[in-house]
Amino acid sequence: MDSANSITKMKTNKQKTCEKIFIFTSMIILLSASVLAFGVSSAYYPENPLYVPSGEEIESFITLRNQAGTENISVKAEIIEGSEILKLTAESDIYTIPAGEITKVNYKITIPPDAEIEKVYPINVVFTTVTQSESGSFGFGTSIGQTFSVVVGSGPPPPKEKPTIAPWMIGLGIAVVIIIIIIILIRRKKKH
Amino acid sequence: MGEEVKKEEEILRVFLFLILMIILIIPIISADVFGWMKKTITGKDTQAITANISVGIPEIRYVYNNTAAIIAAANGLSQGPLYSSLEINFTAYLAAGVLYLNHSKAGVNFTIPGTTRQNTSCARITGESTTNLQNYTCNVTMWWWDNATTWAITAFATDNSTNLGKNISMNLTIGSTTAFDVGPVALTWPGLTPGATNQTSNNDPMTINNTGNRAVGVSTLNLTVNATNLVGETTPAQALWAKNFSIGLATGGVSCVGDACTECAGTFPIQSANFTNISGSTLPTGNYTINDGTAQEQLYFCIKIAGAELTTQFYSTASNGSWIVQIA
Repeated sequence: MDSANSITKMKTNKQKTCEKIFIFTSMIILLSASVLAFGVSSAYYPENPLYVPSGEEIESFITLRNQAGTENISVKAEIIEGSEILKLTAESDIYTIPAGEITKVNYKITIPPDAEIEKVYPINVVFTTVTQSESGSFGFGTSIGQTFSVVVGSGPPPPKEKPTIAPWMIGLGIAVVIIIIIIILIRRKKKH
Repeated sequence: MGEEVKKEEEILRVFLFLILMIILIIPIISADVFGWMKKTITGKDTQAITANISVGIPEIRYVYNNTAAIIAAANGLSQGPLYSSLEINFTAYLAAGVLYLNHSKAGVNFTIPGTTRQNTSCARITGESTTNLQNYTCNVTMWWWDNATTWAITAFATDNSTNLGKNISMNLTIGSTTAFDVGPVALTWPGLTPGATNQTSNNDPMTINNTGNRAVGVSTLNLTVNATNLVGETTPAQALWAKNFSIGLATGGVSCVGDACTECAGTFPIQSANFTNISGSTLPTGNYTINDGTAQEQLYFCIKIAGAELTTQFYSTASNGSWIVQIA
């Protein structure tokens, strides 16, 4: 009876082992890159907007970086916000960044002639690594969003200068006040 | 009574006289009339003394902030762990002649409040000097976490008498770099049984290093994840559903059970095109290579429940696509 029980137990354990779902056993072999490293650089960012006068068109670029990487990276660009004025000039929206290198993403900004001065166009371009997820793997990719504003105009408004008051002017002001007080006092005295 | 009134009027007159004197004296002081009087009486003009001193002090006449490296930096610095070396040149003038310049004490500072990057021993450019002018070249190291903003440039030179001349008229602009590295980019579990709960990954944490100069989680940037279902490769109708995963910033360990698996009570990613913010995550800028948590975030992963209906097969991101870790 005991031996029968132990056989049953063994069978149950075996079945449990068989039922185990080996989900990710092959993935480390299939994925060669263990670290993903890429970056996005721009001369314009939320604190430093790009100024473009109305009716004008300018060209600039965003830099994709794979300087610390050991393998080439493919990145897909997607304009999330600002497509009414910003166009990526490359034919494809997939950019390859060679290992240890940078790649420029050229864009063109066109401001309508009737755009109001100081009108702000928010820009958001997202760059996502193109990863081929292999069989048996639980893979990850990375994505970076580059945001900045395009402001209609030729540049930031000049900072308002604080009116400077010379010390002698302050002294003069105080003296005038004192004199007025004294005159008032004298007149009061005379009335009494 | 009449005498008292007279006395009061006398005091008031004296007072008024003093006030008028003050009014007259203030403009005189402001116009440096005393300086003029001193000059007239003693023959020593303070302005002339200043001019005499300047003759013997090195002057930094030109600062060239238009080298290729500085222009490139306006579009962002290199991502970590690489530093950026910014070349800058300047010209020093010494009336007594460049022979009297101390070439080992010419330098450049780049500063913003709280941070200075400098090179205090710039190199003399041989062949680029005249009797009174000497060109110097400097390389200033900027780190990947240095702020995207306008930095003030101070170029300076010293003569053999330790007289210092400097120029603070120029700036340089550093652009923004949003960058991070992440690894491992594939997660593993030791094996799952149908109906298993709170199963933690055995190759996490996924470490994220901030390799740029934009802080994450403090202003406009957030760390988010876009999840997909891990679909069965043989029976696609079965899946490890994205909603059954949890991402935490701490771990209970591989062998944890129940509530001890802290990562199992973390952020539950939404399976959709939307990105889910990793609650509480931050990624400040800094030198992550110290590896003490500076500019780093660690993510731990848990499968809250593996469905009891699942059969033995590979479940992967092959058909629905990888999960995406995003900074945006």
